Amino acid sequence: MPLTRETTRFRRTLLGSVFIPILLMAMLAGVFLRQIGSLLALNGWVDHTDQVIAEAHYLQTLLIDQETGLRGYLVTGTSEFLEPFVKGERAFPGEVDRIEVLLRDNPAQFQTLREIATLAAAWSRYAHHVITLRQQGGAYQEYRLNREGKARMDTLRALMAAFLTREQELRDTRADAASRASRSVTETALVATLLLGSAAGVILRREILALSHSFRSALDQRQAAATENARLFQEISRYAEELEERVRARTAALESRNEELQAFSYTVSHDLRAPIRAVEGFSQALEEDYGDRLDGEGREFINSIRIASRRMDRLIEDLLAYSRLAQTELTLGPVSLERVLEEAVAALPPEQREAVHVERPLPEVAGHFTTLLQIAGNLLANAIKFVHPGATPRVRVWAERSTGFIRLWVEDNGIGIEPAHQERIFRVFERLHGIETYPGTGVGLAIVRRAAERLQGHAGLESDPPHGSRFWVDLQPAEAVQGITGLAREHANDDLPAKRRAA
Amino acid sequence: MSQEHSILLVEDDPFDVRLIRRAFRKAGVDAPLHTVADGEEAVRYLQGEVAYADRARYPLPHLILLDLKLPRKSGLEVLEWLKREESLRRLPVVVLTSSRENTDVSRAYDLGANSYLVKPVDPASLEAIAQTLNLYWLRLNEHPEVGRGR
Repeated sequence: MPLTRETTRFRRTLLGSVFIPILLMAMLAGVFLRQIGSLLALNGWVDHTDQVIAEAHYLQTLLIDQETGLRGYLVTGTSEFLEPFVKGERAFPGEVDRIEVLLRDNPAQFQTLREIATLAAAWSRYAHHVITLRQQGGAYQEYRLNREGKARMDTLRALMAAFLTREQELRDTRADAASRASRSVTETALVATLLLGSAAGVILRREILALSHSFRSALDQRQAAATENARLFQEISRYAEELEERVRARTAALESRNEELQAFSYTVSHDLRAPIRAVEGFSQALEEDYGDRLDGEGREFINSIRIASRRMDRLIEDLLAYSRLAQTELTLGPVSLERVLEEAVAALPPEQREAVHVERPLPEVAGHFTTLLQIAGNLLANAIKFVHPGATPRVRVWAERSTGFIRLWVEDNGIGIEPAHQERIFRVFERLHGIETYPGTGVGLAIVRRAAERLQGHAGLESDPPHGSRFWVDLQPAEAVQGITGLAREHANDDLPAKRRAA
Repeated sequence: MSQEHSILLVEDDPFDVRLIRRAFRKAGVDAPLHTVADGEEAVRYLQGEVAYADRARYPLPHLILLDLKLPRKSGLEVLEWLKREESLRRLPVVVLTSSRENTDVSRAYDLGANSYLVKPVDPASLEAIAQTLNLYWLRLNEHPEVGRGR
């Protein structure tokens, strides 16, 4: 399916247009975080250096306080002046420790600090020595001016100043680096944002274009398919109409043909029989009214005329019955085979009735009384007629129930039928014997078969010549009436096309 | 027998007319048998039109024997017309035809035929029919009032 392919492509496009920009943004955010992190670190170093500088200034102050206190005491001898000295001396080592901690990253300065601390300790020892001298009132005069102390302190100060200068230089360098980093972060951010924005824009644009393109092509395909469907539908509708029109025309033609056929059989039944009836009637009238004036041969002629006209009448009667079977609509209902056989036997000439033995009971079947009577009448007449010359006909009738149908048997002791002829005899006008030996029209068994077929059944025979025949008719059981009535109706409707197929 | 027991035979086949006349004669029926050869003629006879205005010669029958297959107007059409005529509709009609078709039989009775007989081939049977018709419809049957309507 092209549509499934389109769907997959659509999903892929959607993924691309959403996830690629998100991925890019995440990458950019990572870069920014890293840069900002290093910037913060740089700023931290600047602060750190500032702190070192501040502590160093304090350390310097402590030194100056000590020296000032020492000088004041030496001049005045008043212990009050010693106070800044004592405070400074007490605070000094702690302060050195604090700065040392801060200077772990800078071995050079650390070393300088250590030198400062050593020098300061030496100065302190000297100061205590001088103070003790002053207290004892000894030769303090030579220390009054404190030349040695001043020299020591100067060295200390110079060292301190160098320390501070180096620290300040370090701070400036670090501040510079921080501000450069800050600038570069800003620039990078600007550039990256611009780049990413454009990239995302380009990607989105491309993906959306692809998406809209695939959408449009899918839509086009759909539309093309819809147009094709509509065209096909129209074509099919047109075919259907044509077909219907043809069926209508065919049906009308068949109906009119059927009507013609009916009119034909009507004409046959009336007009063809009228002259025969006249021949029969007048020949009989001739015999009655003028028979005494004719000799034996003349009366024989009249008899021949009458026999011929009766044969003709019988033939027409049979043909009508046969064609009526094809035309009449049959409504099937439950029919008692016993009643059918009673009536069929009663219709036989009295001298023939004895020959028929019906094995009761016979079941009910789904059928049509008149049609079943035609079947039974023809089968009985047949069974009685085709006996060996001089033999007494014996006919046995019984029925047996099989799955789905009832089989009616008519068995005779007649001449039987060779297997080669067993199918032929069911066709119209098929006769196996001369009219002199066994008179008949050749329509009787054709009527039997067609009648059976109209009742949704069939007819056939088993024969063992010359020991007689067993004709059978399969019929629907009476229980099947409901279903068959519907079928028969359908069948009646189908009748015309069915005939067309047959033709 | 007097003129009041007459029969109108509507039959186009002259042979049939002849055989039926013979059968009535043979059966000893003396009722006059008037014949017309097509449906229109039958209507004219019953209406007493010009040619049949003389009711002494062409009396209204007590029984109509009607063939179905007739020229100009079929027996069924004659029957349909007759049963709509107020003054004539009570006239007994016996259909005497060669058709055994169920549709013809049903239609004839639907239109008001009083009986339906199929012409036999055998003249003896025709004679029996003539005898029975005479006995039943002309002698035993009570005749309705015909010709004045209501």
